[in-house]
Amino acid sequence: MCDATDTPAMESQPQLQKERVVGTPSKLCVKCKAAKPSISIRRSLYCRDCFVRASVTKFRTALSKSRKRMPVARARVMVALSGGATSSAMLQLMADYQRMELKGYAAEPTYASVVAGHVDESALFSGYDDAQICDIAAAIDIECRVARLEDVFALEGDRAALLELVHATIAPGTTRDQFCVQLTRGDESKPAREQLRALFAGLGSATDREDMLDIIKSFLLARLARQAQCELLLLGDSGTRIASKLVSLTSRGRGFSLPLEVGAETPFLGSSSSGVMAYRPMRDLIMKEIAFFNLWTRQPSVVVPTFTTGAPETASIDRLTESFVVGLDRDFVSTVPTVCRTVQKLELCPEALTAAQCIVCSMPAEANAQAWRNRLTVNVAPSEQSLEHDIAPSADIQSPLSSFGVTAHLCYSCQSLLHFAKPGVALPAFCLENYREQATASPPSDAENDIDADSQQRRESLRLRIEEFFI
Amino acid sequence: MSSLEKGEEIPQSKDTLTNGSLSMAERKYHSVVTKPLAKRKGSAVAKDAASSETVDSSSKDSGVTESLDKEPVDKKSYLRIRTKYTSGMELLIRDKETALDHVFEINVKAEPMNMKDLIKYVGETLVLDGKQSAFSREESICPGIMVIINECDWEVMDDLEYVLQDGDVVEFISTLHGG
Repeated sequence: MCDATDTPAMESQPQLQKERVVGTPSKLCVKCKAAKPSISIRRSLYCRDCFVRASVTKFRTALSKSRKRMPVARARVMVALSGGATSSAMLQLMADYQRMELKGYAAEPTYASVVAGHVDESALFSGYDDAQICDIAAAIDIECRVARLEDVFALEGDRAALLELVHATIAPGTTRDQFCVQLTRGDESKPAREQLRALFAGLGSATDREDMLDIIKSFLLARLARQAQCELLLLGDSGTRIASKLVSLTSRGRGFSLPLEVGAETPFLGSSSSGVMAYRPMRDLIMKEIAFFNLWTRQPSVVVPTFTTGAPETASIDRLTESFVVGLDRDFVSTVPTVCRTVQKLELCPEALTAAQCIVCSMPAEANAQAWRNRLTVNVAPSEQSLEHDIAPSADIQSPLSSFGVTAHLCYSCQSLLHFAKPGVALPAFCLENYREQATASPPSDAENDIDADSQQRRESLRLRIEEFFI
Repeated sequence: MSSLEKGEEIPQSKDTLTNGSLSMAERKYHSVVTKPLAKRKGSAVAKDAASSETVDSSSKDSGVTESLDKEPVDKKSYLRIRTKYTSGMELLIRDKETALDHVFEINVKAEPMNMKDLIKYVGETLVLDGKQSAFSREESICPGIMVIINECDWEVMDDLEYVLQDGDVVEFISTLHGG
């Protein structure tokens, strides 16, 4: 039987041995076995040249694996360039690959052309020079196209309008959260930048702001790629980023669409009707490899600030998971590769393949996400809630438009985001576009709504009967 | 010249530093900078460095000042270490010029200096108040910060225990916010 006395074996069991091994006896590069090593990756030592070559090979391997799902034969490629280390490295690698192919070793280059796409975030963040990022692309003769964040509020045409959030808390008997919006022409005197800042100011937390920023950037990148007639978009997500995204997206309630957001390929980024295919070819390189690659190839990059730059760890979910994953990876070097291997095995569930798209993030929206939210513990019992209607003042509406519900068109995570947003917040113009697309494509099925409402009512009456037994 | 010999007392930080090796005050570091040090509250270093003849206040270039060559430096006991803080690390350092290039002159007569001590020292003198936890943690550097010694990963050469040599170039780069 198991003896509880202290034996040497028992003492050493609880602690996992930390894996940082330094100064191994045979100090030579493991690949060429001739040169002195300059870097240690996952306990293997590499010399500078072998390391650079290995990184290039990893990139090309990842790219060729994704090539099996290429949309057209000779696609035009747009490289998403944020200016940070990973995307700058990716641009260099892609340009180098294209140059190599054009030199004539391949019968026909796999990709027709390469351009760079950048989203200018100076409306929200200052302290970095946007021109430097275009210089990075210009230095290797790549055209750089720029979209500005505030473009999502640039209204054009006479059908132009915005969706404004109207937050109504309804008295007991119906569902807890109702996401109602109304059409508004928006304040045309306010410049797009102001409207953008108002949107972010109206969001609840730093996590929500980062989420909304990601959504807007994805939309703008997809639109840039479409405008440049590129069928393919390359996203600069390193292995470390993918590992921490996996954890943070799950924490934010994006598990339903997770394979699309961290996977090697995303069949459509942006709406399903007019999206582009996106690859993540840097997924096999961890941040350390990218940093050293940039150092030794003298690749310039720019530090682009975000909401949580310089903030403590607990500023947002993303920040927390990043420091968790990076900290773990330092002591246990196979953390990030193991997580990335798991990521590659993820597949969309069958419901996700046929689900409607969320009008905010364009990811599959789980039907009955509302039911999940209703099962959350409430702080205040519904019977004590008073009837509140927070209707924000909206200017310049020609005819009084009533608010309509969009709950069924929102994914779980976007519902959480809007739940904590202030009423009167105007959503970017693409949300209305997505809503119109879906409304014309498939009229709302009233039968389904009725069944839902019916079961809700039955559940509600049952709850009222046993309410007195609740603690 | 004599200021180098007597050094000056680096004010002890509130955290206890002693872990068996020499404390900062005992080591008597003298930091030579390319620009006059900004005034730090209660910092004896600033007062002495400003009056020290080794600081060339009119020099605007980054890089080692001429006055360094004029000092009668005993090569065996004094090391010159050049440090750089790039790719996001400059947000933690007190000013941009220091972050681009900063040279330390270190007295190693009593005991050689290793990376652990350098990290501690940088954390006390160069890092902005309140950001120490983003730079060093538990006697070591924060995860996510790469240390490069003479263009080589520090993990290849003994990590924290690496003993600094004269003329070493140590670069700190941050890989968080990689984009």
